[in-house]
Amino acid sequence: MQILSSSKASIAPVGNGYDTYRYWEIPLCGAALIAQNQYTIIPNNFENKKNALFFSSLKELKDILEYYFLEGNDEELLRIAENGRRHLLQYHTPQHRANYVIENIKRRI
Amino acid sequence: MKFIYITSIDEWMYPNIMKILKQFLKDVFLICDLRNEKDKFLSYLNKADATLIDHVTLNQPLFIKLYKYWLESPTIKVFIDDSEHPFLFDIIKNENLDIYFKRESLKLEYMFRLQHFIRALFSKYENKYFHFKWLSIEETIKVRKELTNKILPLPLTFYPMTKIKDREKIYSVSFISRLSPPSIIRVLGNYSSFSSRSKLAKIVSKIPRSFVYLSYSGAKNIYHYQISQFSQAILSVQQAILYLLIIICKYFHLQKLL
Repeated sequence: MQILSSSKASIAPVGNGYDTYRYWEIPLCGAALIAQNQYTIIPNNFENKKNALFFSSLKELKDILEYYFLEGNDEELLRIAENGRRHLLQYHTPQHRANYVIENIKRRI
Repeated sequence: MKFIYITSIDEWMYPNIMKILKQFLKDVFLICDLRNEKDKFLSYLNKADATLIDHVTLNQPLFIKLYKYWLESPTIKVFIDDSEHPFLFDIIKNENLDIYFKRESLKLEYMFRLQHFIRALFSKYENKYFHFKWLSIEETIKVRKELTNKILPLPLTFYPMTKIKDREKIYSVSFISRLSPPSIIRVLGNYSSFSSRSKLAKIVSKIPRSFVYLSYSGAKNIYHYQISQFSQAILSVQQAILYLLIIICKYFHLQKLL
């Protein structure tokens, strides 16, 4: 967590599954989320270049890292990181998940 | 309107669950901790409009009898698959189940099919060499198709155990991950994540002031970039074997699954 909080950006790789804790941990720690494109349905997901950065190939990841860190645009990441944290707190806290479950059950009753 | 959340989640996590659900507890929510309240379970069922059971609970054979009561109860029955277990259990395909909250609902049909194809290979392999038996992949596919209109996506979230502080940004980009060692035994299970993570580490490590940390099963907390490079070579051979297997299976034996 300390490392994530001390980073301008951090990468969330997919594992044997697609959805990982790291994906949600990074924005909460105030780093810009860099993730592989999501193949799963995430209601109110992050948006590319607005509050996260997505890549679909290693070349795209290289391009992202070069643009922000080798071409001197890393200050933009602070805005993306802040937007990411705000978005997470607005839509993706454990309380939001609990509320989502309850609301969907109510619709079935 | 009353909901009951039935769980046997680990004791250390229980206070966090209580905190998360605190705002709902007074009016609509009851929590039944099966570890301590097994006797109250049936009376709880009679009081509820809807009942939720999580995967953690379902995974414990000790409670299987209780689930059978649950499935016959008149409440709305909801299952939460919180850990993306690759295989569903018999109990889940019961037609009485009303809602299935699934951690990973795939967007693309071809990805869904590919995932099942890989898992078909994996389950056959595991069933042959390990003592436990999963539900067959044929049944799993059938179950998921039947449940399509009952499945709702429920992605993970993150609950910090300690307060997160704002810190000076001393690193440009970080990549912290765990590598599962490539092996012939588990090649179907971990080849993909191992391969992609070691490649990602290589790219990130070239960025100035980056932080790369790969832990490795069997040798915890060690920066294993060199090992991962070596293992990458082994993995390439394994991948070739896997692709060959997939092609053979697709055309001869497992095609019917797709």
